[in-house]
Amino acid sequence: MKFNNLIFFILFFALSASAQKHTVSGFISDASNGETVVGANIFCKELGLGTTANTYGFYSLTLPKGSYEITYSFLGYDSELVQINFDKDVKKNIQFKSSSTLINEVVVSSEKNVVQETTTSTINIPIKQIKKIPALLGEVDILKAIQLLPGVQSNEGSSGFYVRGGGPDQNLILLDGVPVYNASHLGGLFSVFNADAIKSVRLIKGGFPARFGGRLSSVLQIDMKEGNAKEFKGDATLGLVSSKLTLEGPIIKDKTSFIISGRRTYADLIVKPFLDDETDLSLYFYDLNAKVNHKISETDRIFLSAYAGNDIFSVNFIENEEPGAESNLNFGLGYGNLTSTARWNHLFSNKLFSNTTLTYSNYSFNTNFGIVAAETFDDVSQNTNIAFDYKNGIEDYGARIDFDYLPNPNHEIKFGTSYTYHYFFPGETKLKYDITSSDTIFNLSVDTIFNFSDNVNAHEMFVYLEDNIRFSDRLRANVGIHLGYYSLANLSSQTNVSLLDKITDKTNLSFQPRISARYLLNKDWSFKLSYAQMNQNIHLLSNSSVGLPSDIWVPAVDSVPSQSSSQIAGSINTVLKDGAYEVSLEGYYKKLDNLIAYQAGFSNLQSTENWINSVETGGVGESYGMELFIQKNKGKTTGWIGYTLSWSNRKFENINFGEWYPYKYDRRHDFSIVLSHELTKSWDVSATWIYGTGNAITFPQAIYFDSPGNNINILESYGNRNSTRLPPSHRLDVGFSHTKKKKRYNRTVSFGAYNFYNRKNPFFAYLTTENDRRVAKQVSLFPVIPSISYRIQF
Amino acid sequence: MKNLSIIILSAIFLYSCDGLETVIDLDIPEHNPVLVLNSSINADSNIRVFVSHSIDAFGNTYPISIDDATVLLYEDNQFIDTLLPDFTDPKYYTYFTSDDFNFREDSILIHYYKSDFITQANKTYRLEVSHPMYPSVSSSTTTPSGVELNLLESNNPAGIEFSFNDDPSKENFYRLRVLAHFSYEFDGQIKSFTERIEFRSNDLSFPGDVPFDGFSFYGYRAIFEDALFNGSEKQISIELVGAEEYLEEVDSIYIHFSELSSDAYSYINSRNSQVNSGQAGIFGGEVTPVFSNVENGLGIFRSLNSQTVTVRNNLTE
Repeated sequence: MKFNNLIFFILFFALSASAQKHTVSGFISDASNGETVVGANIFCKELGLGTTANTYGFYSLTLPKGSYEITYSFLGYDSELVQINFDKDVKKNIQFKSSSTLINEVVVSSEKNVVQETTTSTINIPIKQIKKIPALLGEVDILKAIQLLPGVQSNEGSSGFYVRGGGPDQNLILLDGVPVYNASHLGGLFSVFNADAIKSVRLIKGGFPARFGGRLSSVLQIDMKEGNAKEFKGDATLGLVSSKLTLEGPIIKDKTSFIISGRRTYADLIVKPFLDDETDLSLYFYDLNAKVNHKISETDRIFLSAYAGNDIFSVNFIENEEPGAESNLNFGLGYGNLTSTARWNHLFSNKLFSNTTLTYSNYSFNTNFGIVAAETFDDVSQNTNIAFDYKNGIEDYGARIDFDYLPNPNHEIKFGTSYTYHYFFPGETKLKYDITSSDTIFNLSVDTIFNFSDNVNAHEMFVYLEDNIRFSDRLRANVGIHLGYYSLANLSSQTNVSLLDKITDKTNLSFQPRISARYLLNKDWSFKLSYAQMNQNIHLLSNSSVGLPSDIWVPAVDSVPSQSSSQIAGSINTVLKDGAYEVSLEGYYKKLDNLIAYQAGFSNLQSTENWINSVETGGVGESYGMELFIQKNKGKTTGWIGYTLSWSNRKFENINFGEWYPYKYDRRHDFSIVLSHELTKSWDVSATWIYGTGNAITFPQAIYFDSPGNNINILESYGNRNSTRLPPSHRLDVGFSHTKKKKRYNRTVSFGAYNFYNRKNPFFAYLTTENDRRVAKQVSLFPVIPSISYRIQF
Repeated sequence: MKNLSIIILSAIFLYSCDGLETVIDLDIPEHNPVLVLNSSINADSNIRVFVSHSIDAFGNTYPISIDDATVLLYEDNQFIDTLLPDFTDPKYYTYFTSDDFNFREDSILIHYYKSDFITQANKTYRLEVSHPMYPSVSSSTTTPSGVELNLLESNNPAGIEFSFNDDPSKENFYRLRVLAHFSYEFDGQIKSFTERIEFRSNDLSFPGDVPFDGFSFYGYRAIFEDALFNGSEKQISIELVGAEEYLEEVDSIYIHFSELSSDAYSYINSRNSQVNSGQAGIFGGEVTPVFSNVENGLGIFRSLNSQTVTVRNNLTE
């Protein structure tokens, strides 16, 4: 009943205001390359009304009959002023030209400035800014840039991130709308996103619009470039550990364009000369991004995009030192993502825009080990062939349709539906032993497949409706509901349950209200408030101590139900010095339910237990804190300062005697400063400095003797879970780049240093003995690491 | 000049890589040493108790056996006896410490506190231990009633089958071991020894692993609970591993089957988890606190009720 009232309320207001009005609509793009401009502002100063271009650059503004001057603007581009006569509907495509004065400047901001934006907890980072941040081994990394934002915690050396006390599985990472399940390479050192192929990055930490769902803590939207529709362009980078090449251009000018971008590391090629002839090593990862888009007509456009990335590690060792004996030992480990998207943009009218998307996503992990040996001993010859193979993964097939309906400047209505078919394979081991001997007593043959858990298929679906409502010049609100449906597909107990019964089964449904409101105190100050309920139907079984690619995605089942959260956030926001600085201070409280955790001592690397029997369920969590974000958007020096003060706790019945304990990533203070400065036309310098409270760990507080057996063990007593803190982490990264314009291309030489003052930051700590004393030792990952890269753009 | 720069940069990098493992000061909560009580009692047997103390995680000393504590034994809340350390029977146990990859061996001398009192099944025993330097501790355990084993015929020479009835009125926990008694002649004398035998099984109640050669359990002991057969007759089939190598040479083979108290079951599982996960380092999952039923202290007072059944006796055949 509440839902019906809400729909009626929204439609009533939307339709009642549409009489005697006309609409200007169209697409906004970059004049230099044809790429659509996301989030451009369209504003009628005379009436004080405006709108914003959507993700595909489409806008629609409906105004009363009359002639008005419309301003099209977006930072980094020259504004366009167009006089439009609203005596009939008008189509107006705008091509922005890069601003001559701001061409090299970047902005870290929401589409509108932080004061005007309706939603809370949302940050866009332009890819230009990300490319300026000094990076580990010079490898520009989108997720490492995300980790520098307030409210986002991370571990050194890991591209995983933790938003407002949430787990690493609670972030919905969307690459062109497709979920990416493992966003890291080399066990977390780098992210899978090749910055050269990325157009925009947007992080939502709270106040989630209703169109998003499926994760509790954040949405990270990453959109690939569409490809230059005007001319052929290339971009090549040669770095210490990897090289990249991006090619883009028109297939049919201004109609069809493509982009293809590849990256490969070559650590194995560097190491190879140092290995002996008997050892064959492969150690690399690669990414391949490709996208094609085609403008069918003024109302229809299609996009095809794909991403493939894999990490490969294999070593093959041949040993034949003893006569009559030869063995070949091999070990392999590989994991990767494959995603693809097909989209169709269609304009039903100048007020109704649709985007239909078909998606495919696959993540798989496998490891294998094998021995092939032949030996002769005491006239007995024996051939041994041992092979072990393990794999797990998840595969998704999805379809969704989204509509943008813009009846008038007071309403921006979005509605749509999404369906995903999940296929989980939580773990399968193949084991093969084949020993043949001239003495048959030693013969052995085993060939078996062992499944740790049944493969499970699941249906996940949602419908949503949201409206960005302008109540007055001061008050705007984004109000929406997200209705989720989830069920397992192949439960034997449900074979006789009809589809209708399944859909109407209330236990399969989740009602998730969302609201974000902004109140303008004056033109430079605003206050915002948001509330969002989220549901998550999948869990990540992650070893508690360290995140690895072998972590397993599993579905919610009866005994391990879906996770849920509710979050309230409020912020006060201002702009200073004519918009050069944006400042926001935000507070939040988040409650988490139905969390899971591996049982103490359980490691998915060591156990073959069914995952359902290996987890603690019914956990609750809470996190709360404040985030300060100060950005400088204009001038030769840009960047931001972020500070987070936060608390994050967990409670499980069977952990820590049922008492609350600090979450592993509970971090009281987190500080980051990111600065880029244009020294001259050709020289840029950038630096980041971070500081974070040490992670909470469970560390021995005492030792004592066990009951004696043949020998006697020393046992450790830990006290409360996570009651000890690692030392704080801090680090300074610096980078310089020099760009020179050549006749046919631009070349940029970048060099810098990661961890400039060689701080030994803790990765983990353990109790050991040194010089007859028991001491705590920490292990650090990275010393100071210099980097250099050479880039040409043509 | 270029080569010199590379050399200098490489030297800086290598120097900075040194010391990626460093000793740190951790601000851990202060630990006040407590008494550690360890005792395992078997129904129809004597009792012995090992008393020691805990010690701060950091330092250069290790706990020692405490020989001057007062140890009192109660049965169903009735005082039974004061246990005294047996100085006539000193025991040395070896423990290992590691300095990174260098293992060091050391030993501890223990004088067990003993009593002539014979414990019984289905009784609750309590130990109270006091010492002037530590807070007093107490712990209690209830001895299990035990089960009757019925040996079953097995066609497999290496196979052993037996059954027992599980008590439906409570949760029960069990431990199965197989022992072999060997004897041999040395210098004209007959010597003998007893050894635990590895066995394998597909019993669903046993801890499972990746099946090998058709069996999901391999081990020298199986510790399991009655969740899958509560209150019913439980039949167990096992097969001795490598039996063809010793089956004809062994004097006798017998199964040693124990019903464990719940505290014994919790302690054994958590202890094994801590020891095993510790060996795996950061890949070993979250650390496991070892179960303790000692109030104000650490350690375990546990009980079991064991029986031994001979399944093969070559000496009489």
